Amino acid sequence: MEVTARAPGKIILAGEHAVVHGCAAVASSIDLYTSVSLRLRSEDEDTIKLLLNDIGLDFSWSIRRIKEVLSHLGSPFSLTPTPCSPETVTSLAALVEEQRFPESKIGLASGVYAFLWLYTSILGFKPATVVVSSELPLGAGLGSSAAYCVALSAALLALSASVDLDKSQKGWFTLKAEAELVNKWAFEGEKIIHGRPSGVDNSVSTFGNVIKFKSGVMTRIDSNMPLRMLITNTKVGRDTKALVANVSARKSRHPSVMCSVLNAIEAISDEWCTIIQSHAVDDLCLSANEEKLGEFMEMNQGLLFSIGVSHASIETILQTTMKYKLASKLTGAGGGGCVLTLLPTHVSGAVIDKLVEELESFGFQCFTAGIGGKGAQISFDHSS
Amino acid sequence: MEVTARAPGKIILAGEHAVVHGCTAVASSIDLYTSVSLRLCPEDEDTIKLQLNDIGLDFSWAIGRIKEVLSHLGSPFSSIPTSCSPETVKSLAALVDEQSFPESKIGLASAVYAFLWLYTSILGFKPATAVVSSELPVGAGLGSSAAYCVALSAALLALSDSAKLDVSQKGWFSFKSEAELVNKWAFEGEKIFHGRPSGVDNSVSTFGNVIKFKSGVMTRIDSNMPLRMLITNTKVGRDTKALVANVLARKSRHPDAMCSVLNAIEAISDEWSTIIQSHAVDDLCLSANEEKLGELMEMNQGLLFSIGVSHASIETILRTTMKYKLASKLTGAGGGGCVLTLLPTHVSGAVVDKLVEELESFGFQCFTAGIGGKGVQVSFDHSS
Repeated sequence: MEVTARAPGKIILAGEHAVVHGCAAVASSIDLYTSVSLRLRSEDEDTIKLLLNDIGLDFSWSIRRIKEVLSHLGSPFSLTPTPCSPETVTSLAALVEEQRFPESKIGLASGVYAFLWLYTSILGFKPATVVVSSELPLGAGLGSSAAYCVALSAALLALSASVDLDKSQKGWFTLKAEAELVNKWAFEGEKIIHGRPSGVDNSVSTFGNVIKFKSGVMTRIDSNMPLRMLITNTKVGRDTKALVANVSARKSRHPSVMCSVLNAIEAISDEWCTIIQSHAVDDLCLSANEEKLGEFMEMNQGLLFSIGVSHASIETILQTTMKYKLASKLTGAGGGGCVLTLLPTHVSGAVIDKLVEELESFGFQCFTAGIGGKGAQISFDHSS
Repeated sequence: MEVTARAPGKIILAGEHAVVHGCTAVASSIDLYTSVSLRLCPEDEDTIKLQLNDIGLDFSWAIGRIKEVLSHLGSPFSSIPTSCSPETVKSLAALVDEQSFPESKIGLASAVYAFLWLYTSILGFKPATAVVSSELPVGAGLGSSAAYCVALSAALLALSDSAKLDVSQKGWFSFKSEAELVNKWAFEGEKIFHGRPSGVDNSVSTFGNVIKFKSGVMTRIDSNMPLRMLITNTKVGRDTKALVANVLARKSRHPDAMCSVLNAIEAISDEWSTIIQSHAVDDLCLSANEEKLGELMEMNQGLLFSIGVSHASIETILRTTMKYKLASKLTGAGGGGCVLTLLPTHVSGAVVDKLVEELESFGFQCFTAGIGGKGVQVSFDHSS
């Protein structure tokens, strides 16, 4: 029995940082996926295998050993998504340490803990091989960990006894009633990787399309606007906590100015929501909308510069796209990370290729992606 | 009888563009001067001469010819500053056309009309030679036309019968009671250049120090904070009217966001006013103030980017100064023009030299200047 699940990454269209101070932000899925394929093995095999293809790491645990380590939990089979307690994380860490985990990739350890937790919680101790591959760069703010958790949760649930799916169905299909459950399990996985995540990343990955979020409340937005973005990864790592703290510090030094800056960002998020839900009747309409959205991105970028979260690498990308008269803005925490550039429908492929070539010559990594597409999907007749 | 007058240029510290929409802006003088020296000739000489040294243009008019052309005005001697009517501008244009005015410098014709108007209004038909030289680049937003008008008005008034100055006084001295009159005449000169100037440029040049202005009301601010700026001229010309119109258009497309952006800029101007009037008791205090002001400049620049008045050349300068951890912001209309970089007291001369070298390698022109210094001054024992 085999299943493959794929879950999209995400971008913040507007409102990052301001959202920490109670303003609205808007996120959407991007059609870059993390795929998890899960193949159940025969009962007499005694191993659970995890292959992280892009990273080139393989893990193999004997089921007996896993049972041993997790014995204190009693029955881990829980239909209700349950957090992984700190003690259990310690137990899982022991299991991971027994594998040869290269020092350089130690940041990925929590991803392996999340795997073991979700696996044993949803499927128990059935032997299987799990293969993970992804189109998303890690740690760049594109929601790679959430996409991983969502795809993993979806694949596990698809093969679990608690979910009843038509396994003869061909091609990719979206989960309906099970989506909420996938999202809740994915959130538990995210907690292992991030401590106190907002839940937006996994929600966008599970449900797709566009989500507006403000003060902990998420609202799904139905958009069918076919927008394309160039996503450029500066490959500059950043300390998100420090960036967030700096913004708070600036706010306490200049409360009036910052208050107005945050209000401006909120107004931009609200306008994004309005425009992206409008249904363009023709190309002219779409073009006009793209122009407005491009202008928002430019304004949002200026405001993010004002709050102090830009970076020399981001500015370089901005200057480059400006030459092509394209609007860009950093997405996520800033200080490095990724930059979005809106690619209006009238821009030719040749122009984009030229721009990508120029950006890559700086050492940046480029992806083009459609936004607001489907969330997690599974297939019984695909192999990874 | 000879007098030299020198008047400073100006920079906008904060609030440009927003001021058009009713917000506050803050301007200060810079210690870069335009000097006008005026030497009365014996009565039997029949010419008025004007030498524009930096531009390499000389003019010479027969007084008889000037009297002819301006005869319709009756007595032009007016102790009250009077506007130059359109008909009079035409007459003056005839006088200028009769000189060999190179086509390439036709933009400077206004300077010559202003000279003739102010001269005949204040001094009548006395023969004299006026020599003008300037440290200020023309048309770059640093108030060169205002400094010219102020220096010219000051020199003319110093030698006129109506002023009662002690001509035996040594060195440079400021006007006291006559300053208002200088400013009013200079404003009439500015109207010939700019049509409907705000009057801020000539006021800053006349009175020096710092001026806060909002909705047509100017407030002089007493500051003794010794701030230094690097002023970089992109040498990119711009259409100020178009830039102002574009901001207005963006405001009508995105009223909420733009309203908040303008509020943020106003808050920045208010903070500048407050900080710059505070009296630093020691170097630590000054350093702390410089840090806050640098942060305000960075924030103001992000907001100016948001309203769409930045430019590739401005962004290049920003990126360069960012490498040296110095804060910069465009000053004036944007779209080219000049960029201010705050030079805190702790920054060494060697670092500034290195930065200037790098900026000049792009083809930009650099000046360092102290801000908020004295306004127009005259001297009877200096020659230009």
